[in-house]
Amino acid sequence: MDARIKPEVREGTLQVTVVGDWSLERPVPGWRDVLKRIRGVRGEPREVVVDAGGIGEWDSSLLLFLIRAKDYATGKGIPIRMEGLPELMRQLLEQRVKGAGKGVGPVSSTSAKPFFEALGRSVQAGVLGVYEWMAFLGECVLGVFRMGRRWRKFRWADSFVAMQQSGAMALPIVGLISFLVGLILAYQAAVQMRQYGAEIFVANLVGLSVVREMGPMMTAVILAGRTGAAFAAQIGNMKMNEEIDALETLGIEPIDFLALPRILALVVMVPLLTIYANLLGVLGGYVVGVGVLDIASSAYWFQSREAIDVHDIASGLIKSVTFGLVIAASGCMRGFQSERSSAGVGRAATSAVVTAIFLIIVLDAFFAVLFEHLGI
Amino acid sequence: MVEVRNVACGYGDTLVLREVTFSVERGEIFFVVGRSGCGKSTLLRNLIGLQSPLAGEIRFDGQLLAGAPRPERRKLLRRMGILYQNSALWSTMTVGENVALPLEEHTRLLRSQIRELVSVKLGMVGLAGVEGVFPAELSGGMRKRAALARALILDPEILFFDEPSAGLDPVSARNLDSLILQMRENLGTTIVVVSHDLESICTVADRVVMLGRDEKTVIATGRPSDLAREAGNPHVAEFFRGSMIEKVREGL
Repeated sequence: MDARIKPEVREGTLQVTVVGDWSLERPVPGWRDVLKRIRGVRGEPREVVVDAGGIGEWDSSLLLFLIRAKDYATGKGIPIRMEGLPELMRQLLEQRVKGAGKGVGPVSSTSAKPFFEALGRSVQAGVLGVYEWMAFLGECVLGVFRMGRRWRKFRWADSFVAMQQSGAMALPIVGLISFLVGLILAYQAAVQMRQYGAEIFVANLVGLSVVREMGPMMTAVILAGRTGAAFAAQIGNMKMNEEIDALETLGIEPIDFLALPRILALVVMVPLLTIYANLLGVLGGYVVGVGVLDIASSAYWFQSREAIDVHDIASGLIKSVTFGLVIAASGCMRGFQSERSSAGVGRAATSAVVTAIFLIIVLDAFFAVLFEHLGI
Repeated sequence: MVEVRNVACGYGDTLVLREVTFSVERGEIFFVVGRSGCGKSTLLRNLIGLQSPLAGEIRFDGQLLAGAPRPERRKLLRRMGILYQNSALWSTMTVGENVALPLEEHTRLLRSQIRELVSVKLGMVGLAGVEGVFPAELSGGMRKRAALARALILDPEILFFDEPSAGLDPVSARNLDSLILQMRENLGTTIVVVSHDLESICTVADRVVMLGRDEKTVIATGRPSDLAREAGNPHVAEFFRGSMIEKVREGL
């Protein structure tokens, strides 16, 4: 039999008779239905009586109904009586009363803070972030000095594995994206240049943009997403699994053991990948120049070689070394800061990518100004 | 061997334990026990130097670990072995490499000598021949034993165990208990165990310090059989009121 309720108000007493089988899998009446049915009745009830003597099978759906009934009575400040309740249900209800107000409910993590408090906190977090960065880099520098004294103990093998994973295995994606970027730049340039009949200068534009900016930048951004996040996740997972504690208590510096080999790997690999990205970016421009704009192949190469100076290549490579450093350091630092939970590791990985990309852009802007002043 | 005097520990503003005082003698098997959430693991993190006490001091043979300069700290840590609850084997390295790493870092032994020692220690914990296997390929019990081999590789004077029986079936847990006893017998190692496994406590421990969750400090110290018999504190009595109680009364 389906679950049913029969509410009636008699001499100020709201009597609710509950019958039938109460199951979470079937629709059951709620306390709202009780209130709907007694809406026409004059006067507020002075007492609530729930009579469950006639129920069949029941589960938590009945408990929910009774909790609502209790809340209703408590809200109105009137007594409530439950008759014919199964003993287990009575105990569950009592436990709920005991447990209530102990703060066992889910805590909202997004509770709104006043504007100025939120502002203050985010400024504080920003300052703390800079401080953490400096502290981490300082630790790394100390680690380099330590390693200078005992370089035999350096984890060369780990570094080579990181180089292989972040470098060799990233060749296809870095190559494809750089090629496409060169291609896109060439198309965009072609539209403008064609108006002046100066298609040949597409080679200059693509060559310089790729070698000075897009090559280093796109490589760095790809590696930030690909390798920086991986570093953070690896180290965060190790932290969760007490592996970092195990290193520390064996007297092994986690920075020397985990961060330095990875930083070395990226400081070496990002410039190498950048050279590769430069080549493929220029190739992308060449394909458009020769295939679409009908520039002679030799003319395109000649024009590119004239346009690109060794300084241009060097400026890109200098930047890429620092990009490698910030990608690896962000990844490792966020990994070490990760909370000991899978959600924490996820946040660490996200944060590593965001930090790295932000710093890449800031550094790029800094170098733009610097090179301008130095005339490079 | 270990002196803990008036130690308070916690995280940030949260005080987990206060005024904890006890000492561990050389060659003793000492248990830190208590219900979940009483601060056992926090105390352990303080003992092994992963955290510094908020107040009081912890000394090893008279030396402080917290705040010690790096070389001294390294020297002190070298004398300790720690078996973590999750084993904490480095997952990117094979079992052999895991056990060998402390030797590579702290000694000037030749590769062949290291290999020899690694296989001896792995044999000691009943895991001979698994050098080339990765930790993920081992069962939970084997992983614990591999981690124990790593903890033993530098011949520590003192061994710390964090919940050794956690995640093990009863038979593996008892095997680990007998391994603990063997180590004390054969090597004379001082052993500090954090645990709430009543059976281990009653069969292995020489002395026990019990932490109270509500009291936030030591609520009882002594031999497990004494604690079980004359527990003044109701929490202590409640804790020891387990299936092993009869065995303890018989003096096991």
